[in-house]
Amino acid sequence: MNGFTWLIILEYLYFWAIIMVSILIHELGHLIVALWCGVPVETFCIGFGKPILWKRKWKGITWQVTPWLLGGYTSLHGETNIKKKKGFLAQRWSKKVAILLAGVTMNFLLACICYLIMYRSIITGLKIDFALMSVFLQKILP
Amino acid sequence: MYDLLVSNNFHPFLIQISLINLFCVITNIFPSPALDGGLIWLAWCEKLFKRKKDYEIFSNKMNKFGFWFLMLGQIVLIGYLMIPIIRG
Repeated sequence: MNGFTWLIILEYLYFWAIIMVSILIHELGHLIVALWCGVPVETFCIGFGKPILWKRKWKGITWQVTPWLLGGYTSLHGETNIKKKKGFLAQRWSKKVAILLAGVTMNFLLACICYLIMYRSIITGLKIDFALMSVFLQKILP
Repeated sequence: MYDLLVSNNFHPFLIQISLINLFCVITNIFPSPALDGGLIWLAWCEKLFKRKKDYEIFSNKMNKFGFWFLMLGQIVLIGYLMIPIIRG
């Protein structure tokens, strides 16, 4: 492999690191609001599947990292069973929506903090980002 | 525009973080299986039709299908982006 290929690989790793920060913030949003709504959290995982690279139990939550770093998940108590009291599915719809919206809200807040640091205006930041996004999509789409 | 932003001493890391996070918000709000948008849509349906048991069955099936759908989508996207590297 030549230097240019290594440069592209490094760029992909850098891009992947940024995505990991976004996933961490997103999942933390779900975790915080779930605990706030009284829904016990079973697992907080960065990455999917197995093998588990790092695992620790702290405050009743299993924190783990897996090598398939294409996303992450926050496993809530009673996520698949409605009969479990205090479980996610047994909650009121408003609490469910709050927990589900927490992830994207955290992502949006992080973007807003970046806009305030860079442009001192959220509206300007949004306008610039939408313009950049359209340029990027025009480049990658056939 | 990107060069203009960088030349004005805006940190590229902050630009990329904000851009990716905004993209995350847009894609996650999309009502697709296993994404937050799809589950929010289901929660609204549960409120409208008041059928909790159906919500449980449907959300479990939707999450299983959606997970593999998203994994496949990511592999296809990464493959598409890796083509220029493989071709040299």
